[in-house]
Amino acid sequence: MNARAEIRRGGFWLVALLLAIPLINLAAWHVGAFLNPLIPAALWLVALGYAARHAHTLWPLLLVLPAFGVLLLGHPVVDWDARSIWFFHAKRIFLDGSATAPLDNYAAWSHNDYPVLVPAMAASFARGLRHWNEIFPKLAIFATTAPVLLLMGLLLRNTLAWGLWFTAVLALAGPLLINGYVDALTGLYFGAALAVAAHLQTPDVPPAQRPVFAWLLALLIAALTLTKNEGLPAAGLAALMAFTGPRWRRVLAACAAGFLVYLLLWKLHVWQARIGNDLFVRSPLQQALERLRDGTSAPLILAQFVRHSAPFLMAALALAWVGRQQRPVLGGALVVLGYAALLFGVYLMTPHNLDWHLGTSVSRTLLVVNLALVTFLAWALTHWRAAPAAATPSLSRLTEPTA
Amino acid sequence: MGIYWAYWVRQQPWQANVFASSLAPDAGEHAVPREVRAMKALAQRHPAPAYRLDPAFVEHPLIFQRATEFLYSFRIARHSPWLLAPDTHSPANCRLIDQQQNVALYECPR
Repeated sequence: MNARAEIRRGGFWLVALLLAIPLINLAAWHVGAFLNPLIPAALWLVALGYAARHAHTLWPLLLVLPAFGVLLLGHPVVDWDARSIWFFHAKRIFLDGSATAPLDNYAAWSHNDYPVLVPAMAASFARGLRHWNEIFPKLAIFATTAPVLLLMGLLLRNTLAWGLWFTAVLALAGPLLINGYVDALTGLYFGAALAVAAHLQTPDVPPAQRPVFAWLLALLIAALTLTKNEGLPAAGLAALMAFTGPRWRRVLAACAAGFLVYLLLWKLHVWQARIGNDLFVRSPLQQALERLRDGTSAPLILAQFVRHSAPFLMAALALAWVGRQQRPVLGGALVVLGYAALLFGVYLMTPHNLDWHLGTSVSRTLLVVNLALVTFLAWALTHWRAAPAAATPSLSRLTEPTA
Repeated sequence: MGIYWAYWVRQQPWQANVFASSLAPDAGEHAVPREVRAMKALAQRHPAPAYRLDPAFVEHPLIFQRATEFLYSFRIARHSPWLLAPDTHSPANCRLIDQQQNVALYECPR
C-alpha cells in the first residue's frame, strides 16, 4: 500500500475512534462512570492536526470545526424538544449518575423511552464542568456530529464536493444542527451509514482498508439506533442494503455488532423498565386501515411529503433509475425511498390527531430523509465509476468467498 | 459557498456575552421563564423532595414543562404538601412560607 493510502486509512481509524467516543461514554454511564470530556477534546485536537496535515483536501474542516464549537456555546438550550426531552434526560443522567435515570418514567411526557446517546454525552460535559448549566453540555452536539463531517471529508476526497455537501447540510438542517435537536444528527448518521455500506462494496476499498470500514459501519449502525427511535428502522434498512452486496459476511458481523450495542446499551433496559412508545397505544394496523379508508388522511400525508421532500424523493428516484446498473447506488437510493415509505406508514398508524402530529413533526422526520439522501448522493456522485455493476445474480453471493 | 456559510452563521442566535459565560454555573438560565426561575430560587431556599404546582401553572404547558425540567432534581408531584403558586392566589388552608418575584411557596398540610 502506498503512503497516501496508509495515511487515509489512519484518518478512517481516527473517525472510528471519534464515533466510538459517545458509545463508550454511554456504556460508562451504565456502570456509574463517565468519559472525561478531556479525552474527546484531545482526540479532536489530533483530528484538527490531521486535517492540517492533509489541508489540500481537508482545509475547510480547520475553519468549520472550531466555528461549530463556538456557535454551539453562543446560545443556551431554548427549543422545546431540546429542553423537554434531550437535555432534560441529560440533566437526569448527570444528577442521578446513571444512563437509565429517565427509565423511572418520571415526567412521562418527555418520552423516556428515547435513546440517550446525545444526553449521556451532554451529561459527561456537565460532569467535566462539575455543574449543570444551560449551555456547556451542548458540546455533546459537536462530539456526536463532527465525526460525520470528518468522515465525509475523507470519503469525498474533494474539497469542492465536501463544500457543496456541507452547504446543502446547512441549508437543509438550518438551526436544527446546533439547537439541541437530534433530527439532523440522525439524518447525517443515516446518510453516512449508507455511504460507508456502499463504499464497502466498491473496488475502491483495498483489502487493508476493509476492517476499518466494517468498524465504521458497525459504529454508525450503533450510533444511529441510539440517537432517536427512528434510527432503528433506518439502521435496519441500511444493514439490509449492505447485506445484499459482496463481502456480506463481514457486513453481517458489523451490523450484528451495531445492533447488539443498541440492545445492550438501551433497548434491554427499556424493556426491563416496561416503558412503551406512545405510537403503539392502540392497534396500529387497524388505525392505518381506517386512515386509508377515510380518503382524506393519505392525501394529507402525501401533500406534506411533497411539500417538505419532493425534490429529494424525486432525486432518490432518479438516482435509483440512473444508477440501476450499479448495485450500491441503486441500493442506497432504494433504502432512502423505503425509509420515506416507512415514515408514511408511521403517520398512517399514529394514534394522535393526524393534523397535529404532521404539523409538529413532519418537517423534522423528513429532514432525516433529505439529509440521508444528500449525504448518500454526495458519495454516489464522487464514486460513480467505482461502484460495481448490479448484474451479479442475487444468490451468487452465497457462494462468494469471504473478503 | 463561503458567502452562504457566513450568511448561515449570521442567522443563528449567537451572543458574545452568552459565549463568554458558557462555563458559569447559572449560564443560560435566561432561557427559562421568570416564574420558573423564581420557583427554583424558592426550592433552593426551602428544599423538599417534591413540590406541587398550582393549576394555573399546570395548565400552562410552557411553565409546567420548564418547571419540571429546570427544577430537577426537585420533583413535581401532585400530592406534595409544598405548593408553588402565583402570588395573586391565596390557597385555602395553606400557610405562606416564602415569596420570590411573582411566585409564592405555601405549605398545605393534607
